[in-house]
Amino acid sequence: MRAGEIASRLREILGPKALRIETPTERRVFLTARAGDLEDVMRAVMGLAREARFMTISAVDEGLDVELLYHVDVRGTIITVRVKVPKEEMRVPDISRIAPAAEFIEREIRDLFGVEFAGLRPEKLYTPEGYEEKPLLKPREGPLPPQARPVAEALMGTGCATAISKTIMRRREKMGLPPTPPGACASPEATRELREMAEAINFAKRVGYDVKKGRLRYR
Amino acid sequence: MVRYGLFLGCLIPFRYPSIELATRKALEILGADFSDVQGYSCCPEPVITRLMDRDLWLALSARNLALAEKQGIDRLFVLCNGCYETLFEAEEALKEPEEREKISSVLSRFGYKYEGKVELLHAVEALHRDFKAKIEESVKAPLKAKVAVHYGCHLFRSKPGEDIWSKPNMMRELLEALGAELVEYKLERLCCGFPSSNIDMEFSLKERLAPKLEAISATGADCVITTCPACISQFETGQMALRRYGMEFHVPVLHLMEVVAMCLGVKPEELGLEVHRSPVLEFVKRVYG
Repeated sequence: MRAGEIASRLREILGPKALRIETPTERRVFLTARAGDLEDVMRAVMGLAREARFMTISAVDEGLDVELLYHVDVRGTIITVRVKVPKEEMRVPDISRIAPAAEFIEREIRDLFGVEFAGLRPEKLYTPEGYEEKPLLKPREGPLPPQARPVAEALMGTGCATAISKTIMRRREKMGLPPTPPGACASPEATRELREMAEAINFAKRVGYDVKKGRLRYR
Repeated sequence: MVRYGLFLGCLIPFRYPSIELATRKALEILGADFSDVQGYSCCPEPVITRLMDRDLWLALSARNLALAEKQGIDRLFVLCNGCYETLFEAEEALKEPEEREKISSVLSRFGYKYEGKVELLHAVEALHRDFKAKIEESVKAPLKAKVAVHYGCHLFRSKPGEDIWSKPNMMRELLEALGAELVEYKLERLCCGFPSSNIDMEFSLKERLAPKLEAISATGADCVITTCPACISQFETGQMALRRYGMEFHVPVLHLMEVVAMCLGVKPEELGLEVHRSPVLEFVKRVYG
């Protein structure tokens, strides 16, 4: 099966669950999916042909997320399913019921990176019982250096790079000035607009800012 | 009549409201038609933010410029060197068609259009160009003091072909018009150390601030006057921090707008100068009584 045919069939079966499908060559397909849709996606991939062969899973520590790449050979074309697992969650479904050979590598990734595969048998593969370190897991770190982190949070939180203290607000009032200047910090609509603008240029994703929680995903 | 838009930035209203108040009072005395830029954000800060994410830096600064246009402002009156640097650089960047198209597509989603219609002026430029004559005839309480000028690095930001000393020279001329005696201390162009304090505090204090303060003290200057709130912060908190290394300085540090207001007759006690952490109150008592 050629990459183009596989891509069309996966688009048809998965619809919006296939977030992105790329076919850089005739024998290569990359499919990006959400971790929550992994079982459906793997069922669709393994169901493409009777000869579909699960190959392995690669785990890549990207700092804030661990990316898991599930590689499957379908009649000479390699399909790679990519899912990102946020380090705050570190949990994905176990696919060994769909591809039994995955159990071995899932246990290895759990031992070395700490990713939990929901439903996977609990025995360790490599590391001894009682040893809880995850030797290949790096600290949760994003691209911003420590000096820039408070600036990013303040900018996203209030639209200003520094924070105003209650003492200064009181002092301003005493001086006959409004407690806050007429900037975005005094207007929830303007602050929301700034956050939406930052989203529109992909800032939150690039630097690892959690818009819902209103803070960076790392300290 | 030309309509000015006050661009306050963050540091001035959040740390040094005395500068904001002094500016409002001075512009009223000078008869300027001015208003605030409503809903402005951080300029954003020109060093860390620009390095952190250039797209965010440019989008937010373009929004600030577009806001001023939307509010019918003719000239931006920028009180902070850092804000001036950012808005200046953003204007230059937006002259590039590709950059402009990219940022315009973001701005348009939020109902803004950047057309480059607002004239960007540092407070020094605006005062010198549009109000110097009025200042000269309106001085009620001259600045009878020996003044060391700290321009701040971003005041040297200039357009292609413009003399980089044009704004620093304007600042000197304004201070002379106020009656100040300016002293030369040879390290005028040395950075105060504020940006490097983010990386290495000891270096910024010992290798940047201390040599300046030593040179200034040796001239017998009564105060330092600057136009940058970040430099004021570095000079003031830095003098306290240098005591840790056995170095004692007691140099008052003020913003140009504060002395302009006082020279135009605003009483020092009306300005809330207690926000300063250097001996500013003693200095103004000595000069203005």
